[in-house]
Amino acid sequence: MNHPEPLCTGFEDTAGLSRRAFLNKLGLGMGGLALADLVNPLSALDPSALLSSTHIAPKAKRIIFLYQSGGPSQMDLFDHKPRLNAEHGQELPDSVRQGQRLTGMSTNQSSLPLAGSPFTFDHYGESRATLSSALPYTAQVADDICFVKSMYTEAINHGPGVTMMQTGSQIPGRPSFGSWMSYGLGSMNDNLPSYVVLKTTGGGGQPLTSRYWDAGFLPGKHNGVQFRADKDAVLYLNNPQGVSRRSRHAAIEHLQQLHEKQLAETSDPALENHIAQYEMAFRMQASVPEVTDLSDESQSTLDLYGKNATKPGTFAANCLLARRLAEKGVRFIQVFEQGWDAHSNLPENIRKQTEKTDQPSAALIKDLKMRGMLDDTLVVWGGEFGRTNYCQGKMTADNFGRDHHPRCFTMWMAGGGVRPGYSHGITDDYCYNIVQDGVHVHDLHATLQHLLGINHERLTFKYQGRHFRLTDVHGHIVKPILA
Amino acid sequence: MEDLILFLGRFHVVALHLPISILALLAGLEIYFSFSPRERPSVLGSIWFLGLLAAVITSGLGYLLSLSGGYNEDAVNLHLIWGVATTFIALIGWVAFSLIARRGKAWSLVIGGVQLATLSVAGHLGGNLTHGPEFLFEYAPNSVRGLAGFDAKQAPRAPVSDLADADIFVDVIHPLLELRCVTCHNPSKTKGGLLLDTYDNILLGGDSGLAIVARDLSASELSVRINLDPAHDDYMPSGGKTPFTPAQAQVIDWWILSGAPPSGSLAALNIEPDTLALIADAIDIQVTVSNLNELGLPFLPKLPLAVIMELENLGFDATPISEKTAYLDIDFYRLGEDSISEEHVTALLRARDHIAQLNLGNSGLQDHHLSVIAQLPNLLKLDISKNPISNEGIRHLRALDQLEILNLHATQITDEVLPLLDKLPNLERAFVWSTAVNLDATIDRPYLQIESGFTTPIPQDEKPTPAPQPER
Repeated sequence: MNHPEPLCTGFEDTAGLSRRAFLNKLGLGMGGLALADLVNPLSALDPSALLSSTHIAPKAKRIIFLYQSGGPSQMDLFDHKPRLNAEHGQELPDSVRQGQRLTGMSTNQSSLPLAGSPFTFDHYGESRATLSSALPYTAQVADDICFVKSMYTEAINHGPGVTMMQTGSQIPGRPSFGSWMSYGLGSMNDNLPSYVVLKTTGGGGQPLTSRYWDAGFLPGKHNGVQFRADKDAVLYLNNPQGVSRRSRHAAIEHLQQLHEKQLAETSDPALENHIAQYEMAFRMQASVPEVTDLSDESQSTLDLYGKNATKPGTFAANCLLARRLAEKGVRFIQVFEQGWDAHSNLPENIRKQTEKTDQPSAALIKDLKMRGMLDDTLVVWGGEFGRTNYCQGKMTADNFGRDHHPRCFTMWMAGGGVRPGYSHGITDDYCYNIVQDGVHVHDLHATLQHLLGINHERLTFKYQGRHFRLTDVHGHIVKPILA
Repeated sequence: MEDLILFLGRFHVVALHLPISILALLAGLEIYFSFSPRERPSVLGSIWFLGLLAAVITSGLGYLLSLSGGYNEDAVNLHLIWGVATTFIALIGWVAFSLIARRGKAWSLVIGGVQLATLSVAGHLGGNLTHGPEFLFEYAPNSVRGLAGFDAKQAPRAPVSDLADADIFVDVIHPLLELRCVTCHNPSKTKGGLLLDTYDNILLGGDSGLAIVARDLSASELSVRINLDPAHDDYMPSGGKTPFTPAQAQVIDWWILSGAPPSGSLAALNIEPDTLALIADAIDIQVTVSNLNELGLPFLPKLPLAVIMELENLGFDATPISEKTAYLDIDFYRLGEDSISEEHVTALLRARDHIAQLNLGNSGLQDHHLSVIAQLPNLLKLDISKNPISNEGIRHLRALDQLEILNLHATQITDEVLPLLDKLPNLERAFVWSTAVNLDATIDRPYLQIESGFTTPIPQDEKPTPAPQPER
């Protein structure tokens, strides 16, 4: 079979924003130049700033970010602190807190009693990773995981916290991580967006709005595209009732001709972007139903992800879908799980949340590994901050809550060039402050970009008179966690 | 006092020209008049006194200089003996020609001849001390060098043009030491008892300790001293000589931290790009770091853009693996499933040498296509999973002797391919999940990757241990 005609008008990625289109333009327009003599003609001439190749050889070609919104409790899942159990109910020492700020929710509490974890901890795998009894499946893939127990952020509430993790700034408006990667690395598959967002449905929890996966000042085509657990996975993609695919095609074709006329007179990036989006939407009419259809998955794979694997909109189904999207060449897939915000009823919350997420998260690692994809797929697991070692609200014999804690929390990564079976960073005995090897969100972003082959200081976009980047003026690569 | 000794001692190298010229002229004249019928002028006797005086002063200064050390002791002693001998012959000359006024031609011939000989030997030994034994004959024609007992001159090692070919010691570290250290730390001028001329000698260290201790900068005197404040007494190079540039000092430190290997090509050492850039800076070679690749494959020039365009137009995603290498990573996501054709596969040969990573998973690739794939000599990573590939196809792959990672998951292969895979010399991992390959086959085949599911069902913690009660 030959290369099929583009489904639409042959007018694809007009803005020259794809490497291929750019190559063609270059070839036609500058054929007389001794192209082979140019050291790196793409980076020298490509006006879109899309990287013609990564700065260094990438270890990972794609990221699956399992975002745990709300802030999972590090000391109930990963960071074992027997001292909290020993001093359960005693006051958080001032020498530990050192006057650091609390949220408005617990700052007026008359007492800040330490709360030990109700979960037992054990060591797992050859790496002897410490994990709580709430994560029996993660325990089985512990040797593939790199735990970073010394994450920290400045944000103390969800909005700024998620914005920080997603965009590298607490203030809304910057492009999200996935958008930066789409902008820098481009798409490997013309039929799917390079940044896809999946959300667990019906879980409640802190709201997740589309600005978290927005492209900010980057061209709009780098927005994360949310796939919903619905018959219309992507909204407004299908043809209106009574409109056939053929007539839709014809309509877009005419629209494109008008756009081209306009473009011939004024070069408008927004319009070029618009055209690309129409094209993409049309192609996605076919590609999205295909990728979201799980009917060709084997029973053993479905079993791997657990009983919810076929239930659309669950974390399990989204993890499986993430793998399918990764197989199709999507660069950045972000799976959002809500509901970790356990201000009260923490033991019950952890049980509920881990029941939903533990097996699918571990299954994703196993599944990727089986398919030989874990080598170049980076799986990231974590939220915007951790939780306090002290109880928020009323503490009873078997119940308590934990407030937001930005000064230390745990994230984990697997595959894609991170060091497996390794735990990075140390927190103090109270799980309050970092003792050694703190990793700021900027450092995480710098490191993840490094694994994707990007020098985080060199992927920039000029906006309002200055060059912005995901790590702004910060970020250090955390070398110990590189494989 | 020490300063005064050194101050005076250094005048040796000025003063020595006086006895050499006076005594050489005298000896020459004595020999001349021993053969000439003309009468020997009697004033020569008085000039012998001048020669003796110059020789005594020079010897004394020379002794003072030897006290400052820093020279090869044996060489200094030998020079001293011959210097004293020269002075002694000058004394004999003065006594014979001036005090007891001998006139015989035999006297002139013998004393003049011996004086000339001792003077030449002493002078040459002294010259060797300051300039090194190689100095005089360094640029002599090989025939002359042979007569003087030197080896024929080696053609100089070609300057490095591609860092990937450079040897870590011979081309990087040694030239740096040559440039800034060896003038004082060589066999004839062993300042501080330290020799930095050869790898073995560097390891021996000097009077202050070991010059290098692998992987330990603070124990490595060399690193410590070149990184001191230049005003510090122990700073090296001392005495206001040109210091190392920051990049050069960093490269030496990096070498020590890397275990101070005595040899090894930079390409084989798997060095980070930043360090390579530093090295290029340190040894000041005009290489673009793009000459280097991170893959351990030989350097290749960039593929003509037209070829990349051709591949892209066919639907491949052909991207250089990084900006520092010309090797390509090729994906086939664009065209969707089962859409690969003969045309696509043969087009890959246009980039034959450049393809290091190739992902044709789920492309509809068939057995006979693999005979073409097998012609890509630099393939490191090949993904042909989810394709109707059978054992027949795999047979073609035996030519891929660079191949490190092979993804065969969800193909139609069976255990029969395993002996074929065993023969791939560089195979590190082969993914065979969801094929007919038997799980038992993983025994003795560490490269085979087969994951099992969650085999043991683990009961969820229904009733987690309640937190201990508050003590108060």
